[in-house]
Amino acid sequence: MVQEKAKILLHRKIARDHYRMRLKAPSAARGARPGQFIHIRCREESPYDPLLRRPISLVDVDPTGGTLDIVYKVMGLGTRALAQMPEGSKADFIGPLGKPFAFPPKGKRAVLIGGGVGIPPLVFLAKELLKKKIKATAFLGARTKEWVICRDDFRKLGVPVHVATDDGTLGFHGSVVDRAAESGRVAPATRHFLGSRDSAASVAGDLVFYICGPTGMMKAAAALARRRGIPAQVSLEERMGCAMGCCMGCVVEVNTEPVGSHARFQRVCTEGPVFPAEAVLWR
Amino acid sequence: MATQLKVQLGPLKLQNPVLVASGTFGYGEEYNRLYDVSRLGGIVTKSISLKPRSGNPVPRIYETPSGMINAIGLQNVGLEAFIQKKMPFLRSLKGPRIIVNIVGDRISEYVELAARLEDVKGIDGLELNLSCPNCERGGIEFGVNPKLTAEVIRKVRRRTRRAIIAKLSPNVTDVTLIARAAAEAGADALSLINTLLALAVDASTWRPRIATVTGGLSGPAVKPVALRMVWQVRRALPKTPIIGLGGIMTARDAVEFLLCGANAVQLGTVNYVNPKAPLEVIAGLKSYLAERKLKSPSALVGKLQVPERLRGLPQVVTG
Ligand SMILES: Cc1cc2nc3c(=O)[nH]c(=O)nc-3n(C[C@H](O)[C@H](O)[C@H](O)COP(=O)(O)OP(=O)(O)OC[C@H]3O[C@@H](n4cnc5c(N)ncnc54)[C@H](O)[C@@H]3O)c2cc1C
Ligand SMILES: Cc1cc2nc3c(=O)[nH]c(=O)nc-3n(C[C@H](O)[C@H](O)[C@H](O)COP(=O)(O)O)c2cc1C
Repeated sequence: MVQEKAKILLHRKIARDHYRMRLKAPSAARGARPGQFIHIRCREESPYDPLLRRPISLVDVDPTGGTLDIVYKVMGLGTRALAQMPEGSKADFIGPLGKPFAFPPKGKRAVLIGGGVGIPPLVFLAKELLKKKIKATAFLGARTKEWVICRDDFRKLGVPVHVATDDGTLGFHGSVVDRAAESGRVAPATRHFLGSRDSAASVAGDLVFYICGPTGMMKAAAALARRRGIPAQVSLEERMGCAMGCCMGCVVEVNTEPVGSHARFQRVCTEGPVFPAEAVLWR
Repeated sequence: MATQLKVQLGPLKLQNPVLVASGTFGYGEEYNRLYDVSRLGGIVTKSISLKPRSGNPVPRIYETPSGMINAIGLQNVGLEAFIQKKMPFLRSLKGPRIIVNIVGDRISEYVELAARLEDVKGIDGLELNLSCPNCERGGIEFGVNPKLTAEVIRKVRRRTRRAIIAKLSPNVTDVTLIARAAAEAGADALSLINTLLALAVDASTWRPRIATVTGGLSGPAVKPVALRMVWQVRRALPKTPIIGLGGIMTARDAVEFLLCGANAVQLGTVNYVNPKAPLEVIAGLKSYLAERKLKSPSALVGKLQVPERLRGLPQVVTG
């Protein structure tokens, strides 16, 4: 883990409100794993507004070229300031941070379920899964067509992509979790990924879910996994202060410890952002 | 003689006047992954309570212009785990003074914490977090009442030979009353300020931004308030060692605190923003002094240039 001012090698708009940034950061790139993130400073000078850094997941890492890529959506003050940083200038980041996704044993198939800005970490994950010869399929959802980001990244990797949009402008009209559940019932081609309810036991045994997106979506996807007996990992989001494990700001309630003990709250930045889906107490 | 940064803070000798503040630096190990924390003047731990605390519901933090509000609820590992799991690393650091910040719901808890830490090796001082509701007095903060403040310090004083630093709350009308009570009760030094009680609102949902409604404001936004309080306490207590904190981001901010009367400084929220800030402040302070041919940080302490006619102002009267 390092804190560094890294040169911005590339900074492009990739969709409405979405940007991709590439940082030259050889030492951080060496050990980075899928599911990890960087904590990036959006403005450095007084009046320090925004004051805090922003956590953004790694969408791709090139250890040989020594680069880190992120994809982010302009949400507010921080990401708006970030979008102003020109190529060639330097960005101050800390990373890589957080606990990565755990790889499944050989022979399993990975189902990647991503919503909105939860999609990027799944791209890096898909790349590393394929290196380990683990097959992956992506189910991507967003509010509208333009926000279904990173489809090309998955295609380049040869990962089949299924899309759902809330407004029906692209792919399945509805939630990506319904789309994923649907695929087991109506689409024979993808049946082996999710299985029907009847054959859940035999087929689901081969699957692993990786889920990242808005809370409602993650909760639904985690419930789907539980119903089908499929192990699932979720990558959670919370407002972060330090991202170093010190401020205790980004905690989530998990049920790995008896309620009332001090370990009830775990830090998204340190024990997470990836948690076993069954540990999370969804609110 | 060349410029050097050593300072004496009551009984404590510091290699430089830059400490890191409680709750913003964990137990030291976390930031040691980014740089060598043995270069710091001192490390103040997260507040430790007798029993582990699980803290408040979320959201616990909210960012405000040039600041942040937090209501963590003193989530910490508790005394036993602190001694077993966190002290070994802190003890291994040769450079910085190790200050353990303690907190309790009642006076007897502060006393017990001090007593049980007395035999633990590698601790240089105790910082008393007085911004904690006293459950025996209807939840009033210890640090807003001079009598309670004095009582806690007097009783802890009897149980420890270590340096006692009283960390003052800014949520009072006249901080000098509390500061005087703390010094007279036996505190070796005062640190100020803790966070300012604050509230942020979401006008869309009509809800508070923090689960517990109110929280503590920190960061650059509070610096002017902190400077004012340090200056007031320095005028009231010319001899008492003071550690100034609140919104320090740069070496120049630290210089401002020294000019107002602080002998040393703590860096808090800035650790989140720029983890290497403590090193930058140490280096920046050294060059600031060297450029002015000043031999030591003490050359700046209390040197704020105030117009002659305002020097003998009566102290602020309490309401
Ligand atoms: C581990 C992790 C990885 C992430 N990875 C990515 C990524 O790869 N790409 C990406 O675009 N984003 C990612 N995010 C989210 C990103 O950090 C936030 O969108 C960003 O911090 C918003 O900052 P801002 O200053 O632009 O918006 P702000 O001004 O802070 O907020 C804008 C709006 O969004 C709301 N909001 C912002 N953050 C949160 C939150 N955490 N919870 C609830 N509401 C919130 C605010 O209330 C406000 O309405 C990640 C977050 C985490 C914790
Ligand atoms: C997230 C957070 C947690 C804190 N926890 C503690 C604590 O446990 N004990 C304490 O005495 N002060 C605590 N503080 C207060 C700081 O030590 C410091 O007094 C305050 O933040 C002002 O300094 P700053 O503006 O440099 O941060 C905390 C501050 C923050 C931001």
